[in-house]
Amino acid sequence: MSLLLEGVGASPGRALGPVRHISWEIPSIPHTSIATAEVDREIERFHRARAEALSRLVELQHETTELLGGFEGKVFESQAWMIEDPDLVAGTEAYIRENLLSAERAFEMQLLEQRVQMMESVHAMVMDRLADLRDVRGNVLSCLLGHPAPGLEMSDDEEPSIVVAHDIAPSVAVRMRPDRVLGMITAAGTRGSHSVLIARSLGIPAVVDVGPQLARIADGCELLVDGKSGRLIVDPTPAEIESHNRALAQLQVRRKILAELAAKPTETVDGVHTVVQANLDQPFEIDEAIRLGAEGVGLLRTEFLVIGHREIPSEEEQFDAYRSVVEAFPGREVTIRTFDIGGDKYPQFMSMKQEDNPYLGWRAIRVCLDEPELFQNQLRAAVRAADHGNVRLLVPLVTSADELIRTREHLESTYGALGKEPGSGGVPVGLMVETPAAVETLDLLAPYVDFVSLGTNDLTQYVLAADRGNPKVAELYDPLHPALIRLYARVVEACEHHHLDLSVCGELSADPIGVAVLLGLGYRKFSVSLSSLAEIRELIRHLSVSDLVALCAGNARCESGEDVRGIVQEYLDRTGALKVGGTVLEG
Amino acid sequence: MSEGNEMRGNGDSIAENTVRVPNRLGLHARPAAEFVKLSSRFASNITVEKDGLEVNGKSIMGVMMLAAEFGSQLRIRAEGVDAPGAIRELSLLVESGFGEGEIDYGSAVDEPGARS
Repeated sequence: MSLLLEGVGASPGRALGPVRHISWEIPSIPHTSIATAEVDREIERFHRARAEALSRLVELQHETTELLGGFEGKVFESQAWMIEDPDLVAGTEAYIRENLLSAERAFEMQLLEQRVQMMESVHAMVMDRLADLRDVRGNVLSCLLGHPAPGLEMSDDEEPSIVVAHDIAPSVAVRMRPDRVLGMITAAGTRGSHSVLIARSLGIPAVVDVGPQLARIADGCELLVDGKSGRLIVDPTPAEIESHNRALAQLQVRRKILAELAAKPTETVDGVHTVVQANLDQPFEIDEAIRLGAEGVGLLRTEFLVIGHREIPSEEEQFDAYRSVVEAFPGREVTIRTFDIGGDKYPQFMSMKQEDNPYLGWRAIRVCLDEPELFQNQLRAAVRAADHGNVRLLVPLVTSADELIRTREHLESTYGALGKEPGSGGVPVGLMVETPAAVETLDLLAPYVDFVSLGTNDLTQYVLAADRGNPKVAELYDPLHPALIRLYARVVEACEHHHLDLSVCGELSADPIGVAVLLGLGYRKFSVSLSSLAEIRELIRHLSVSDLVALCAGNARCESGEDVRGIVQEYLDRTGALKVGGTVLEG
Repeated sequence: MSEGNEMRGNGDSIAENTVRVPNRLGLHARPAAEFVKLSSRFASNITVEKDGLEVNGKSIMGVMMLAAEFGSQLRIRAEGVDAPGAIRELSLLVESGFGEGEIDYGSAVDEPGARS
């Protein structure tokens, strides 16, 4: 008989193999008192152990950076700061000096105090750090006791296994060899822990928070792991193993479909041609976008060039970045959005006063027009990149024609400075429709733009007066609210009337229900983040525009976004479109 | 912005500022490390307060205990010879999102590895 256990799926993937329990418990420290004369010596021992623990961490960070990259390596930097923590050090010293405890016991008591505080906070962000605290404890105590660093030794002739433990410290996780560790399962632990981050980087499926019954599974038992759903099957039946193998085979098939899909146009079942482009945050995402079949870039965010930078990025630096994207998509549109800074993100080189209402403050095109040096550098780089491909410029947060006129003036002077013909044949300029003003006056703005891109995220928060970052009102933030659906429809109408190319780059175009609604309203071009791109393309290939147009028209008086979702979900379930589209990337 | 400086007789000054956490993942382990790395360079005493909880700004355990999520308000306060500089630099660090892009721990790799 097989036994089903359920935990939290933390790192996707499937695995089947024998269980191997690991534990690297530091023996509990006896309560040892010291004589007053020994205080200084114990404090000295404590500092030597800290220094040794720190040098272990430096080495571990170095190894991890080599193996997995700098981001993963940083895990051990935060542990190093825990060992350097002045409160932790002072607290331990006080226990030694005032309570006459041994260095081991004093440090243990100090960590226990920290742990109790962390447990009391119950906040996920704090709980995620418990394994780091354990790691620091094991590291420093083993130095004090003269034990080797806690680790995970796995020799080449050992059978690959599924590693099972109460919890796994990041320093242990990073020693897991993907050819020897088929899965990582813990009784405790959280999805956001550093160990899980490392397991994902190593491509090892992981399930956490399975509970105490995990300890009762004997070493060597066969275990089936689904790292996505978090389901574990102990001693699976032949039928369950068969279904696992089938799922693996399906995964192979899906990968193949994905590869084939990349080459196919995104056409609906009733023959309507659509275009699905990528939203990119960084040029390094290019390869992935191409692999997923992106038909150009509908939104190249450029904030990576400024956020966290101490100086205005040079024209050359920007040109190189833009050109690398443009050349990766020959003949396809690459839509560069001008700096969308402000709101909540400012570069270090701009001195900013905090605003009471940042989303209604100095941001996006408002900043660019006030900071000509910043803006003109970007325009020159973009215009030069346009010599290498099909570049379009997208202007965010426009509320008036004046902003577009002034942007055009900047662009004209850029052409002049670069010795180009003014006016005709220039880089197409687009308007990001994300304010109620832009929707309302699209006819007045139309003469100054060549295309329109609908930004559903900001439009939603400005129309519904709800900040989705505020948990108290996040529920009010609904991009399928009837008010928004009506605005989306008006944008389509206005763009048809003024012969403007129209696309959607907000998050709604990454939501299967959102895409279905937008198709029904007349949208044909979508720009989607990479995590949803293949799924959305496959979904569209199973949708019928004529059905969706009828569905939208027939439900024009829906009173809430929830009703809209229900109706569209029911349609997608009935036609099986969501199932087909949705399973492409499921594990 | 509630920025303010105040001089004391002994050459020490007090400075403080309120900032918002701009990165989506909040003040998690790496930004917390960046914060104490910078605050440790100043001689001044530095505290950070969020929703009534005040911690030592040079203690990573303290800063992590704030559980400061995206959009939360932090009041940073420094007292000492280099207080205004500390507040200026720490505010910049927070406001720049700790030099962090939109790294997503949660939904990052959803291409499962086939393993058996």
